[in-house]
Amino acid sequence: MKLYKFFSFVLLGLVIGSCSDDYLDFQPIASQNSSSFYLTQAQAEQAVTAAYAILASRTGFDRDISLYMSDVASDDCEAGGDFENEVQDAEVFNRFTMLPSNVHLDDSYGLLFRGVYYCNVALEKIPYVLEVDDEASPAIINRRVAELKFLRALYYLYLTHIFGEVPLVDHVLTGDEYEQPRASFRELFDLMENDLLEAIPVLPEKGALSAADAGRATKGAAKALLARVYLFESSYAHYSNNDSRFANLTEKWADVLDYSKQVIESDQYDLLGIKGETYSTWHGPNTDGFRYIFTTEGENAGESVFEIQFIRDNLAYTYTRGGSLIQWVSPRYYDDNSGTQQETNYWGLGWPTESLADAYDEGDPRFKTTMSSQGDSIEVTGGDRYLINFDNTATGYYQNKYVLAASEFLDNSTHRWHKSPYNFKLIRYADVVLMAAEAEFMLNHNAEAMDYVNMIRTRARMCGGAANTVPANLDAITFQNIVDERRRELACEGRRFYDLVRWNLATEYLGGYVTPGGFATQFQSPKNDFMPLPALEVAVSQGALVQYPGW
Amino acid sequence: MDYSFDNSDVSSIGAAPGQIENPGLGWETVHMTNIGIDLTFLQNRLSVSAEYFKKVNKDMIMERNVPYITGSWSLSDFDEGNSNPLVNLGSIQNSGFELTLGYKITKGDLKASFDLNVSTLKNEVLDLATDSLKSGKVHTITPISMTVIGGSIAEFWGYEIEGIFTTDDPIRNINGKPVIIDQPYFIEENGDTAFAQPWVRPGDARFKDVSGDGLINDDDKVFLGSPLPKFVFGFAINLEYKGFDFSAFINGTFGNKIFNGTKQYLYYYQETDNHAAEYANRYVENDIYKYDPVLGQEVLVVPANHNTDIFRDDPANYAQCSDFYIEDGSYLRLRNLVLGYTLPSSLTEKIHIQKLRFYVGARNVFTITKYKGLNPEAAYSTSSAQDDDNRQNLDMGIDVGAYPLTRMYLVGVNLQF
Repeated sequence: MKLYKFFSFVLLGLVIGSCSDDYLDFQPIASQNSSSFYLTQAQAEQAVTAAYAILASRTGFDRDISLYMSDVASDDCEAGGDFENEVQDAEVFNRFTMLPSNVHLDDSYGLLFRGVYYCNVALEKIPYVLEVDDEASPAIINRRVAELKFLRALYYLYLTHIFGEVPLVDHVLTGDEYEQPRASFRELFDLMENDLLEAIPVLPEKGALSAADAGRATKGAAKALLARVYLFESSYAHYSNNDSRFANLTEKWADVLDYSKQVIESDQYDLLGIKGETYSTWHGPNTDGFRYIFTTEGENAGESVFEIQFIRDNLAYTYTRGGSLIQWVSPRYYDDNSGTQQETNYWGLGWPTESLADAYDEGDPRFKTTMSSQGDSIEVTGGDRYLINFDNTATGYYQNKYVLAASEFLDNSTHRWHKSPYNFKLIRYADVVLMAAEAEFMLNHNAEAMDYVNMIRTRARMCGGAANTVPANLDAITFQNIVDERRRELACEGRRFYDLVRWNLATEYLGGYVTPGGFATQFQSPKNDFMPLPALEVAVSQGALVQYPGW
Repeated sequence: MDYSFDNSDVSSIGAAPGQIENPGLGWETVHMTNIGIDLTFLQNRLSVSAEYFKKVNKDMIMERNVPYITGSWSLSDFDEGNSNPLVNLGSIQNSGFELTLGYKITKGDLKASFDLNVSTLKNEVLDLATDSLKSGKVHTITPISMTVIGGSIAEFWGYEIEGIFTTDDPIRNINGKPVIIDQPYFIEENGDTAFAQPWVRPGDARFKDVSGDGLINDDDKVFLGSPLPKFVFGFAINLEYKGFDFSAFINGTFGNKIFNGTKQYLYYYQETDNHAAEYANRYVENDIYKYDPVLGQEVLVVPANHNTDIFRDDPANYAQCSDFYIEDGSYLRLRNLVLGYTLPSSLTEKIHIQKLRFYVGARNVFTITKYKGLNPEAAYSTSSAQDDDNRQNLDMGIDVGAYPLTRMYLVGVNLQF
């Protein structure tokens, strides 16, 4: 009887154990465990690096969380591809026919909570390094702790964007804590606020970063993220105050304004091209400022508050720290010299909609950077340019912010598929300026609000050259101006659906939406304000996690 | 887990736990109760020893599927991935009786002893920190067993097969494809009929729709028996008469099931290697011809065979756990048999030999069992095919083709000076 022998062995273990507990406390010699690992500053650094690495997980932030869950879900983009509903697990986010078993829900929820876990492990372990490593620098360790708090707040903000209320996990869970209910929005916003308030005094300004640290969290990034946290709390409280999920949230427009203004007044950031400056990029020697933001040359430049540092690392498809978005959204077809439709090797998802195109005034320079349209060309293998063929798009547009030179992507065949070195922007300075505008407007400071919106419009206008007059400055401001300006400025950057829900406008913009193929989307508020929790997670929670009504 | 901070193509190295840590992990404990009685009767000729045992293992340490909030998610192949934590998982009770009977007799020159022992085992999972634990893997078949609260540990879990589809089953053309309609189905929202096994052809297995929803899925899997025997027994005889001695030992098990993993290889998987004898009688739709270079023509190598209950050679029939693989593992084995003769010492002492004994014997003389694999005992041990060694404790009764036992014949001489 096998079991019998096995149990005898366990018994023997207990007998030995009764002599002295020390006999049993062996450290494994073949592998590190958490009590033998976090002993030096170098190991502390590695723990923090792992928490950042979540950002660069293949298809996580750039595709699932930004493209599928926000832009495709919104009125800005169709799921697209070779034809409508080609990529069915993306189209369900366009049509709101997703099921709780959708794999991208598991991947997003799992990835973000894995990020929270890496932050929690490091937050619990690395302060101890100062006690055991004489050479460890308290300044560095304290700064890393602040970076971890920034990241934890960032991961939690995205969790609430996508899923609404989720369990609050602020430490490494023990075996009896695995089944957790949703925490309230109040508790979750408090966690994010506290983390960021603790991080802000410790983090350095962007200008103080060495080149080696260009991708790290800064004081400005933490302030901008805190402004965004306050913006979402204030918006839910203001626009959805009859929804019990948002009870106990309060409007904190003054705080939104305070922190976004601190970023603006920190003198660390610029709206690139606002004075008509041009830059040399792969597009040409006189690339305008708005286009420059969306090039590899413009990475971590003056407009960048926080972005994912994707790289060209030559690692295999599953291990790479390259980005995936270029592969997914760049135009799928071009016309060769004989006018025959040819494939580019990109997949052409996320077609911008007619309604997004109509949001731009005729001649707004941001239009051509945001989307390509009939007459535009694309570099294909070898760097030759050909006309893009839009026959397979139902809208007539492809995305154009996240595109690359052929030499940076297609010509590096070993770098293709999900392996673009092109950083993805999570927080852009223009977003901060628009947060300030919105906060001023909500505080009834209309003149100040209009000034901020006009900063954004001026930069856009200047990108068309000194003679360009579009978009003109506003001479009066309405709430609709702010909604529309955010859309035009931040389209295809993963913000739109989260903004629509925040304003409680999703029903208005998505309620009657019909896809080009004639499919009426199933969006209903409040059911679809947030995605369903992953079915597996609900099942394994032993009843602790409950879907929102309607799921 | 690496990340680049300087926007160069060289990453900084990151490190994080590969297995989720459980700071609350504690020791497993065992609670044992034994009540026994030893009796002898008839001037020590009959001895009886009876014992009841109950052993409860609490806080057993195992890996557990946990929610993503622990950090356990990994994109199927995203870097190193995270494995599930060890937890104090639950509680298992083993109980049973052990009975030993011995009888000794001496009558004149005859000395005889008979010993019988029987022990029963009842295993019950009292508590698990999770709904179910699935385990077991043979090549592509997984899971094979499931452990649930209230059940016995690692019971086999899979489909029941109700028979075989034949050419007599009615067929309808649906979307240009022939579909056998004599099978479970449900009506889809748009009014179409969806069949449980829409792809089947004559010669395929009929999986039973236990849940009755017109689908064949995990809801239709049922427990197919336990790898643990209801009882095990041993029986020994020793006889001595004048110079002759005789001994025999029989043992066996009753009531255990075996997952005959060798069947996957012998019926389906190794197309060019050896097959089970029964495979020759498998369902074959049409005559199979092969070009014979000597004769210079096509020759019939496998004739069509429709009158059989052995499924056709298709993974759908063989790649999942079903009662096709589950066999009765009960057996009775004559393990040892020895007949000896010792020359009278009055003869041997003359040539200064204390004892001279000749004997013949055999080991593993015969086994009575319905089990079709090589050795019903082989399936007692842990499956060697398991890829994930963390689950080995739950891989019981899975036969992946261990070396068979040899039958040995012995002829010998014992010499003592």
